[in-house]
Amino acid sequence: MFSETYRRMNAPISPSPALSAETLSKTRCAPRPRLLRPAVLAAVLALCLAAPALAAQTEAGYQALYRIAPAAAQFFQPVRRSCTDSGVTMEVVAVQVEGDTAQAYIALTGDTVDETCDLFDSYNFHLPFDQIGHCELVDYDAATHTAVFLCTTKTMDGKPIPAGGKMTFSLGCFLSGREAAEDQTVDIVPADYAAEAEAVSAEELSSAYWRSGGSYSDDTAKSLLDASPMLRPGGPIAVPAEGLSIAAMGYAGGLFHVQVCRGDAAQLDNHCWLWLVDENGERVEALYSAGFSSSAEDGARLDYDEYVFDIAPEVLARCTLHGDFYTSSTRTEGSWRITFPLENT
Amino acid sequence: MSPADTAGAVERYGAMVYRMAYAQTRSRHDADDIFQEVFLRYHRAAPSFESEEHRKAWLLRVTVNCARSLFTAPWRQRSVPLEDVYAYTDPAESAVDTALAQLPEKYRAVVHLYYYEGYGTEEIAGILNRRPSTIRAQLTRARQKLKELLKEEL
Repeated sequence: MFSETYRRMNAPISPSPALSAETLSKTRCAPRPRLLRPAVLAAVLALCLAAPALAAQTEAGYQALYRIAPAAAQFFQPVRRSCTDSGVTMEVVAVQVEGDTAQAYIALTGDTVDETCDLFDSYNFHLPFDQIGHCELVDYDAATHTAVFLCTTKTMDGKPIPAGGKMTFSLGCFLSGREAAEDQTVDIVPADYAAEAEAVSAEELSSAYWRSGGSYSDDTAKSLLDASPMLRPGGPIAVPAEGLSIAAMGYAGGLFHVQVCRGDAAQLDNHCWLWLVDENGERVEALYSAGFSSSAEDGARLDYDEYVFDIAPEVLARCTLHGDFYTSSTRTEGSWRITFPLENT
Repeated sequence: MSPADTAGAVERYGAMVYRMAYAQTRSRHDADDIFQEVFLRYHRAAPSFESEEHRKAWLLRVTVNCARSLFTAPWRQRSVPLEDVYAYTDPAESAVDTALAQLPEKYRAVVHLYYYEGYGTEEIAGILNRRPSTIRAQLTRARQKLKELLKEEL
């Protein structure tokens, strides 16, 4: 029934003839295809042939680029400059500038590099104007431990990136050994924690406090969200994933709280999403989640997230706890920095 | 890529790209923007394909990526004007439309590829660059949510 309705609904959806015509007119105005530009192709080939020594050092990234994006390998400008720190080599493989956008293929090679590698927002495009950028993992070669990222940056004002300048790409750390365990049942009986739990007020917490979500709208709820009671962290009740533990559970202010300890979230970005499933198999989502940072006895930062459910104890008695868990095992720190010229292609 | 090649791709896959874009954004205006961006990228990148299936998958993937970029853009408007959406007079279609609007964007992409384009979860995983287990979980959750909203089995 849904399938038929959905197909029927989509049948009339199509681009207008005017939109198609406008799009095609733009392609006619666009720069000529790069593959047909002999000057660029010759320059690329010349660069490749002129730098055999460098090529030998940075072969993994460039080979990967040919494998994952053969067209890009031909019209991106080869850079092939590398920098090694903490046993990991970062290579700027190739770059392309077009209008307001610069794109660079960045390769990381090293023992701690794996197919789950995440630059963890520690990268920077250093350019003398406001820009916004992102990096995505596009390839991993297990044989050479090489991960290739396509990093893109655009000017904020839409103005073209000036040719003839330089750009520096830097990286401070990356995460690897990342795992996702989704839709997991937590080995814990929520009903065992249906009693009132010891809570500390948000004011008592010395460090950061934040909250997100929230489906309440009445006045009581608004004040609750502004200063939600938080459970006092205890020892781990359950460890659903390495690096994520259930630190406390129980009722506070008439709502059922589940507290997760994430360790130092700034180090490994361990995080999760929790929900309950009732006796009918229906998901019960948290009304809101809140979090705070604290310190362990040794001074290390500990981050806590708390999921708060509006559920009566008699209903909770027949619920199970579930979650999606995302963890990393390795953080590699270093100072990788490469400056290279930008030329419009 | 010559303009003629791009014109051929627009003719053959334009509706597919537009539907995918609309399925994710629920906005004709956004779908228009994404449609243009996808085919301009196609024209500029001039990718080589092993088969028509490969070309189709490439276009769908770029469409999804463009929609994601749009969703994360700081200037994106969160409200969509009424004239910017397709209106359905049939009650069943209207109910499905309302339910779909309440699904997260990532679920809508999976639902569309599964129920309209007819891809399996493994193929969707390849197109969206996610793990098959993630796609299966997302599809399950999307179905549960739609089931709640529509009060029907999917």
